[in-house]
Amino acid sequence: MVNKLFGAEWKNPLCSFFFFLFLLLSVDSANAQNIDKHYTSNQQEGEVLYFIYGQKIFKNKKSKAKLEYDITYLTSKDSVTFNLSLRNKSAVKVDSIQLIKDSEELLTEPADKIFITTDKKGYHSRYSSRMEYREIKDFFKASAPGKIILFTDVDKIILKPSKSKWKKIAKINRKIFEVIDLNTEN
Amino acid sequence: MKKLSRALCVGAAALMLTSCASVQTPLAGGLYTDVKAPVAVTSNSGSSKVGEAEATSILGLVATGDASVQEAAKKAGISKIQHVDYHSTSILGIYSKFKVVVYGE
Repeated sequence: MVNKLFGAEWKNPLCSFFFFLFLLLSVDSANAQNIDKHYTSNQQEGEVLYFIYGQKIFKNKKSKAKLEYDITYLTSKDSVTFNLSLRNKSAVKVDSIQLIKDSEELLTEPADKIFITTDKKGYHSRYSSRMEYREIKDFFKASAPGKIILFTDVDKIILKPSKSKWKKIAKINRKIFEVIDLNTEN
Repeated sequence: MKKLSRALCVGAAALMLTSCASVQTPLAGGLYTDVKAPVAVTSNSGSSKVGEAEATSILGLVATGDASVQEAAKKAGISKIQHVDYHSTSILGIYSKFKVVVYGE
């Protein structure tokens, strides 16, 4: 049947091997909706600590700056800790972080420096900010890719994701927030 | 041509079976590994911060990254560690990732 459909190439063991490999790798990406590997939770006294692992989807094509963020949420609080790593050619002093949803400002929050260090391609600047839980949840509800703007001492850096990466990550995060809400509801 | 493709096939299979890009894990899957396990627990109670650090390996030929507890704690500004876990991922031994997750204050 397979030979009839695809021709004699399937008799070649090399073709079969790569097809098998492709299937296995597809299984991993198809499991993208298995959110377990994207977050972790830790039961504590009277509250649960949720941590969404670092996500690297935002970048600035012009300056080649790359942003990675992770989100920590304690169910006893109304806000999350939004930690970000900016990898850039030059060191930047980030004053505040702005999230843009559907071309409109969703929030702007001050950023606190954790550290600035050098890496292979330039500088690694690590900052932390506190954001409202409902607002960060709202940010990932946008169907169009959101934007993150970093206001620095000299300029601003606009970081965007690709449509496909946004679609995938936003869906995963929405599902994680749904699980969090289901567990915190009385 | 037939001999060459067979040789390549055997070579690729051998590469797989040797788990070239193996990763530290309590339970290793030959085809796929996605395992979380503990590293350490301290007497400090409660945690409000979480930090992660990772290292990756491709084909067992190139391995890069800093998956130290220190790096993970530094990334979240943690000075008192409560406990440390790790998360190992490997696909066919071709791509492996080792992630350390530190919880603390």
